[in-house]
Amino acid sequence: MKEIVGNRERDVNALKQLLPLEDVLFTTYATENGIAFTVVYLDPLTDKAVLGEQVVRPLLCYRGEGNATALSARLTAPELKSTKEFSVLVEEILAGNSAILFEGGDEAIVAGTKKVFVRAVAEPPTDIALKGPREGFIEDVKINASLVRRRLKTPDLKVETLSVGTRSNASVCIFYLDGIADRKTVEQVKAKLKKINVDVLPDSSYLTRFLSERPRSLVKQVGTTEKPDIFCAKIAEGRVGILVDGSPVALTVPYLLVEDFQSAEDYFVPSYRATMVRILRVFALIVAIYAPAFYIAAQLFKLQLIPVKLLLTIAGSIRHIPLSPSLEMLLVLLVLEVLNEASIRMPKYVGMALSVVGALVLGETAVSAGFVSTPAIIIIAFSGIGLYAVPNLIEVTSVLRLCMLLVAGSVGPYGIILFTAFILFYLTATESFGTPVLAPFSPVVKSDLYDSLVRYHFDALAMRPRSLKSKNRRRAKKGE
Amino acid sequence: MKKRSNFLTRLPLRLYALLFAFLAFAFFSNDFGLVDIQKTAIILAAGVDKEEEGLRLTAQIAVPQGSGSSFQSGSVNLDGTGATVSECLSDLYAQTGWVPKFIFCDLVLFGEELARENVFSALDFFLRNEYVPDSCNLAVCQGTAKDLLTQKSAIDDTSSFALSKLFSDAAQKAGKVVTTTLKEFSIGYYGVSHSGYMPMIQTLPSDNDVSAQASSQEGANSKEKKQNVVYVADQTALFADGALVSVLSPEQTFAYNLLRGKVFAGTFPVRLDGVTYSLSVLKNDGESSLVLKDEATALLRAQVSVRLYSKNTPSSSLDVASGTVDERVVKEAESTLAASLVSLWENSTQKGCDLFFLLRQLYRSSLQKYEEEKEGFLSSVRPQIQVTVKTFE
Amino acid sequence: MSKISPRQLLFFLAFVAPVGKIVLMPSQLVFYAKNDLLFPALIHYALQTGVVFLVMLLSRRNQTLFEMLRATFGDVGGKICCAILGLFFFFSALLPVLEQKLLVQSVFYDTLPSLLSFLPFFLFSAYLLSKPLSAYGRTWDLLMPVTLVGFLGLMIFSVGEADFLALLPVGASGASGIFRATTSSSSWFFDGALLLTFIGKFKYEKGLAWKSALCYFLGGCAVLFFLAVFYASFSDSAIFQTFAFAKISKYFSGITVLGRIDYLFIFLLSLTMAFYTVIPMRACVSCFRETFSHRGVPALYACTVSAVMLLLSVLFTSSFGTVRDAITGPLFWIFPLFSGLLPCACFLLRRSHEKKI
Repeated sequence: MKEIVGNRERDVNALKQLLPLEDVLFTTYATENGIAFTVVYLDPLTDKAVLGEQVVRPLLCYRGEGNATALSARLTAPELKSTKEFSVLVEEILAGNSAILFEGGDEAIVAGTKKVFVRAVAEPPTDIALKGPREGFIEDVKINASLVRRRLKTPDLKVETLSVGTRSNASVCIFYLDGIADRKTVEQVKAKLKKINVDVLPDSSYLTRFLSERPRSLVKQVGTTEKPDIFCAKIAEGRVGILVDGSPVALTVPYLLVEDFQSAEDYFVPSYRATMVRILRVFALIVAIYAPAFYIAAQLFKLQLIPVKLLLTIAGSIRHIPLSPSLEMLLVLLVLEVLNEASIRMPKYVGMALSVVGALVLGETAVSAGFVSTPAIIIIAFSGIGLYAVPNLIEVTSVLRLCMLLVAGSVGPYGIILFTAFILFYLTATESFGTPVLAPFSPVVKSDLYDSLVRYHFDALAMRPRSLKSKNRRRAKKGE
Repeated sequence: MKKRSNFLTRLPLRLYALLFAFLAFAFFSNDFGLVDIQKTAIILAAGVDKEEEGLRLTAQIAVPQGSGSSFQSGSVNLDGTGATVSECLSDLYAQTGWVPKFIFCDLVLFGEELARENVFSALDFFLRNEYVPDSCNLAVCQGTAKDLLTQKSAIDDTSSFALSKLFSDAAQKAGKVVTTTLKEFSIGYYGVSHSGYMPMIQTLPSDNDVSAQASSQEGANSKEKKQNVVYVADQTALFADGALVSVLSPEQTFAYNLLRGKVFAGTFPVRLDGVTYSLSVLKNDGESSLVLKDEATALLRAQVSVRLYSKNTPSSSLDVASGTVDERVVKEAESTLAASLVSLWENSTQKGCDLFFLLRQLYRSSLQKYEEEKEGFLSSVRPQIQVTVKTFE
Repeated sequence: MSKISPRQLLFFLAFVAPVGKIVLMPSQLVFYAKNDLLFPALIHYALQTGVVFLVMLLSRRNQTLFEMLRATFGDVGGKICCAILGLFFFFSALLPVLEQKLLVQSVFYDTLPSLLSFLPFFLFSAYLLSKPLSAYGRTWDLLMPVTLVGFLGLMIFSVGEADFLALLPVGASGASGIFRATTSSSSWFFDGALLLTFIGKFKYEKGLAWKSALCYFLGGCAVLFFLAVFYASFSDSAIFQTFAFAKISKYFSGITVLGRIDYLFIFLLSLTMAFYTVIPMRACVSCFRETFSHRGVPALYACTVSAVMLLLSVLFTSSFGTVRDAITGPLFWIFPLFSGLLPCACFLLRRSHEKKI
């Protein structure tokens, strides 16, 4: 049976066959005038207080006709709809809503009785701000949507919901500003999401490979954020935002590499400070990737890169180290990565012990024992700190650092140059929804440079970025 | 057709992978120019002397001695012999097994005997070698370079570090030393002047041993106590066609620096009525140019602004406070400096050294006149010396 | 279609094309012209600027070179012309590649490394050659600030130690010396021919021809300034200063305190050089693809050209001098023929073709 026939017992039996689950409960009641109705709900996900107060109690006192419209008018639950399809009923019941089947009714009523298990809206741990809002997305897409709506109180903010995952049926909401976002990008996003054929969608990160043109690329092609203020700002610039139910990480497209060097705080501090900090981040990243490589290349191939007195100091430090400089550096890097991974995963109570082990034992004792040299520890420490100056690029830059180290250890300084050239060329050839990720540097978009690695005063930021192909480019009057 | 198309699509990737695999294999079975820093002899300074048959190269090699967190840097002097400098290096390598590296060599020192013959018999190696920096300093020493480098300096354990202090900016500003690099010397030699200069280094015995005091504080024991020396480079060796032809005295060296306008904190003595006045040069402007009118004249002009630095008789408090220089002292200073310039001129031109690069100036100003007058030009040109000493106010 | 923007083309002419001329060309010029080295370079730049202007005028029709050749000589004739052009670009790429190899071995290593240290360049070139022109254009956007910073840094470090009077007397080497230097340096000036492979790949805008000529000439002025500083720094010893751009800045007085920080600028310029060296190979690949009517994937041509160039670089490991003397000596005429006469001929042919229509 695909549709409701109007015979309550037959309909209930059909539903029992479609949902042979122990936690799907079927409870039968009758109205005051004797119309029997069965309430079907999923016990773990249904808010039984709402079910009892807003669905069952009003129906028990009902004396009117036995049709869906009349019965629905009696209910006080906020989300009500009617349906004939069993498939819709199954979906709604599994989502935590309740279905009401009644005698003589050719439609079933679905009432919104979902129990909401959410954590509190708090500052996301990966995006800390000293100034500005401290809200972060949580796992519930409706609450996340409310955080967005609160910031963009305009009817132009369009939200389109899709269901992704044949078994999870996760809600995926697409946000964009009508009249600003490029329509072609919106359609492309929708088309790509509709094509997804997976059974479960546990997190928004799963969507990135479907949204990316080159899913195996080292370079991101989808932006991420956990903060609603950043999400709204990106949508206001002309991007398309995506929220996934069950994930606190929002996605934005098109993606530009430069946005990972920007933080929300940059817009809450004076422009000179923002510029300084952004340039500092770039410098930190360059040091993180290149410092170990240049150290190795200088030691193994081109001693002249190091001033002579420093060279003698280094030579004295590595005199009794059994490993070659490359292996030594790789070992220290490996230890750092293991420490990093362990510090994220381990229980808080053991954290103190690990800090002691990491700092004292692995650091000082290893140097004293002659396993590694002091310069190597210092270089890797600087590199490690620099890497976290741009947290959104950690995955990419840690791989790049390792590759650069391998290249420097085998080919030398020219290998570093060639690899850099290769990475630059690779980045220029990567696009995100038709926008080069290196915009506005490559291709040069002069107007967008005002808010790239430097941040001009707000007077200069009256227009939306040209790189994002937004339709209505003016966002503020000049001089305001 | 589809199979062929698939093959053509995959072929480049396979070729690429093959090329990559070949290169990876080749890399890991090759030494690809690696430097082992522990087997590398970092040469800080090199001394070249003439031997009976060929040359002797003395290399001062830095030896880092790491011990935990504290570190001392010492040096060792090794020498090799051969017909050419590269043969000497091969001899050195054969003795020690160390790969000698000149990339950090900051000083090339020539023994006096070799300098009097032709320094380019040794310099040729340093000019041809891509890995030798041509910004290294050149110098001549009295006696042999080996003796100079192996002597213990009172200032630093490593003699080359002590010697580098002689060529510091501060020393040049004092006007007591002239410095030259390999690049500058070779430009002078290969140019039309075929001349050049180098500082002449001498050693003076010293009772003070700063480095020994530091060592004794650290508890180092030294069984052998060598006589410590202090290096002095206030004389200048003049070269013509690569051979040492003359040596300038300290006064002449100072005068030469005045002509180059390089003196900013130097002092020079003036003797008048039995009193010696030390005048401090606070501002210096100089010129040595060729004037071609009726006859070629070398204009040697030095202008200095001085302050009285000290004198060897007591002064009144007002005298000390003002620091002004008496007119007579100024006149005497002018004549002292002028005399130095005259002797400088005579010393250089008579020995055939175009110290002021007048031939080069002639060549640059007029090719035709250069072709006509280049033979015996130095002996025909007349000097015009102008010295102006002013009190600095 | 793979396209570049006019701005990217201007960046190529002003910032990328000049870097190939500061490696071995300065010492080549000094060998014949001595202190008059600016004149041969100026002659070349004046001629090539005119050629650039003509080629840009030619691009107004928005037709590629290959389309023009096909229209003029027919399909088979066009392919033969493409093949000949392809061979010329391969030949013109040989000296820059060998130059780059020697530069790498001399500047980036303390001891002479094995040949294998340079071979990753061919992996890099094989990758680049398979990519469309639009990717090159975007790279030129990035290379503009890289080259500018690198060049300015080197010049700032060098100018203070330069004696510009060393450039006197003017004309000392005589007309024969200047002429000999001009002919022997022809192999570095084939930008006019390179530009032919770009026409039809960008949208012509009003004034682009003179802007391109101006940009190319400004790049040339930078090279001339470099040559002047080079000779002013080294004077009579310039003749044995190979890879001058890597040595010119080390006499800066701050180097003794800070160490060789000029290597930062040298590395930046080397980055640009790595891309520049691939450009003639790219032109070769595009010519051969036209010859074979785009049969096969681009990567096949890319790998083939890179592999052959690799073999030649291995073959000529110990005979660079012979190759250089051959290319700059008896074979010098090939470059003015293809980078001077050919663009002019195309320009004239185009007119005659229009008349026929």
